[in-house]
Amino acid sequence: MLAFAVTAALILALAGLGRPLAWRLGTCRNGQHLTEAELWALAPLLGALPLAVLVQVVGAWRYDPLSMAVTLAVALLPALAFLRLRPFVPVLPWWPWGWMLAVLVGLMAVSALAPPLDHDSIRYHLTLPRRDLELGRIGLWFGWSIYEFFPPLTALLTRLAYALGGAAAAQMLNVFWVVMAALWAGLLARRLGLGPQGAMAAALLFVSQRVVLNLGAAVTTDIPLAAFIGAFAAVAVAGTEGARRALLLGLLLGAAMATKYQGIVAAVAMMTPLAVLALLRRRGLPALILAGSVALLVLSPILLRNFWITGNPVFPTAHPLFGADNLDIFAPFTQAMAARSVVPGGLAALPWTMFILQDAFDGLQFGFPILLLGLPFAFFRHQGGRALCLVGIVIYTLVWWGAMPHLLRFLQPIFVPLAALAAAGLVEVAVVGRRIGWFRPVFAASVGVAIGIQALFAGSSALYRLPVALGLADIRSALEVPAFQYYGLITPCLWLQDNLRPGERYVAVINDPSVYCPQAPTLHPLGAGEAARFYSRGGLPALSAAQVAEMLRGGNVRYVLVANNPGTDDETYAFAKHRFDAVLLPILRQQKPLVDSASGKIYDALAVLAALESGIGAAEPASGR
Amino acid sequence: MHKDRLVAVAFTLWAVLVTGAFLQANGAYLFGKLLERLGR
Repeated sequence: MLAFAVTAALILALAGLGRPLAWRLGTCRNGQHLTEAELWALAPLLGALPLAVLVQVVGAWRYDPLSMAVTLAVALLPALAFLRLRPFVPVLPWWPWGWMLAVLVGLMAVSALAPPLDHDSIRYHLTLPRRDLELGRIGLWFGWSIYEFFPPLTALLTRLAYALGGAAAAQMLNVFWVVMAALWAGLLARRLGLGPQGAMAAALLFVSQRVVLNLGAAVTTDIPLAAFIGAFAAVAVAGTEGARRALLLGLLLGAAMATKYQGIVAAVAMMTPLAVLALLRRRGLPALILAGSVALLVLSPILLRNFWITGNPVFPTAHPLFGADNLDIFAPFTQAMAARSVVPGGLAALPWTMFILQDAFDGLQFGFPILLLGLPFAFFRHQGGRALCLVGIVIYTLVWWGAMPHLLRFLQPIFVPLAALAAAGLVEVAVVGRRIGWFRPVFAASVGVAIGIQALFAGSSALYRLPVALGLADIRSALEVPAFQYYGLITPCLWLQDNLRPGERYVAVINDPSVYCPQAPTLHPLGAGEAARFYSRGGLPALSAAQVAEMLRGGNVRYVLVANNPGTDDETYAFAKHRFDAVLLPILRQQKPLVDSASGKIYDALAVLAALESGIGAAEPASGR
Repeated sequence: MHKDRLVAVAFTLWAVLVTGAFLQANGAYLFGKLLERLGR
């Protein structure tokens, strides 16, 4: 219940902070007014910017439940204005798509109450907030992880939710982002000429993509990014002229870029057709330049921060461009991905293979390709907004193909316009169905197959989390399965949480941290000034047994945490890791673990240290001769 | 009416092609997963 209360308060704060801005920028004299529904949907998106700044400023000084409660209380003050407003209650056609949508979002909301059960939430989305909470401030630790240098807009809101309501609140906030993205899919569909039913179908198409079903109840940055890009598309289709509209578009793009680096690509993709159109019409270009400048202004504090600390404004991406000795940090991952994904037909066949042969990429991220089913039919009717959206989608996909790892889940930023266009196509076809008798059952059967298959995916995602959320299954049993055997670390982490005493540390011989482990008491493997060298081609010198022994003793290390497969990961530089592996692993093989589980082991560091020092002692006379 | 018929026939063929290709490529995997879930 705390998670629901925290999320509700956060939504109110976001809407309260963003409402004045939405009304000021969304209304204009030139007939390009946004609808009341659009203004209300803009409010929380625009409110994210001031709230994130507030969390960053307070959190840099003090990050704990009390400081974040005070921050949220202050942020809620503008929401008091809602008491004076007439409530905005849109009349929605709930049957049939709205009910399906409600069921999916409801399942997601309950699933969000489960402890973290997905790869990236366990590895870093929640690990970093936990570390900051243990350290007492929101910090940037060059050399700890690359992820804290990613754009932090929604990650800061995650920290606010996490401090007040734990992982469940952070995950519930992500469900809110799903709702926002779905809402904007519907609103964009309205702008593309669809009625209320078509808008509901577009929202459902967004929520029912398999990657959204899987990650809706986790913590992500892709889904809020999709919401910002969807809002940008809808507002741009409504009209781009005037200074207020330019400011609004700029803030939305800036927020997208400040949420995830891929937002920069999405921003360029969505702006390009608008710029070309403005050039051809010789009208509206100054407004677009203003929008781009505002977006860059929003992003610039993040670029400056990263440049100041790491020497690379977009750290960790494009690192070799900012230093001759700088390492391509993602090379091990992209090379591993390239070896794994062989896509038949290459770029020419991509519009087909990305939906049909999803296993050639990173698995069934769309599920049934209903987006592909509807997309071509969106263009049977001429509607300028549809062409704009399509061009944006195509540009983003081309950049994704040419410059990013071929993971279908990285296409999420364009899911909102994709869903709106696919809904537009399906509506065009459905209208035909009303006029041609034999076609009605054919259309119903096609949509029925899609609903049936996506329902299986939705059920599978729910079955995965609901038993844990409802207390019917233990988190250990959920995480000690083959899918998590290499990174959940649930049993050793919970053991450390119970047994590590204040002042004691543990050393981690793992591939990635787990949110279930205490974070601050790990022995950091990099010395002062070693971070820049860790991300360089030269790398760090190997530690000798004597140096490792000295670090263990000096750091008051009491335990050694060991994963089932240390050193076999693709993301070698994501965290500072593997520094102790070469010295400790041969010794650990001769030790008896204190904890031996399916998810990892714990060893007594004092015994390991004794073995290490006896080995050093035995080696010294030999080397002295 | 002529355009409507064209859209109806085009969608029917497209739906058969997309659904058939998807099930051919992923049907065995999906069926296996379903059996795995039911067998739990």
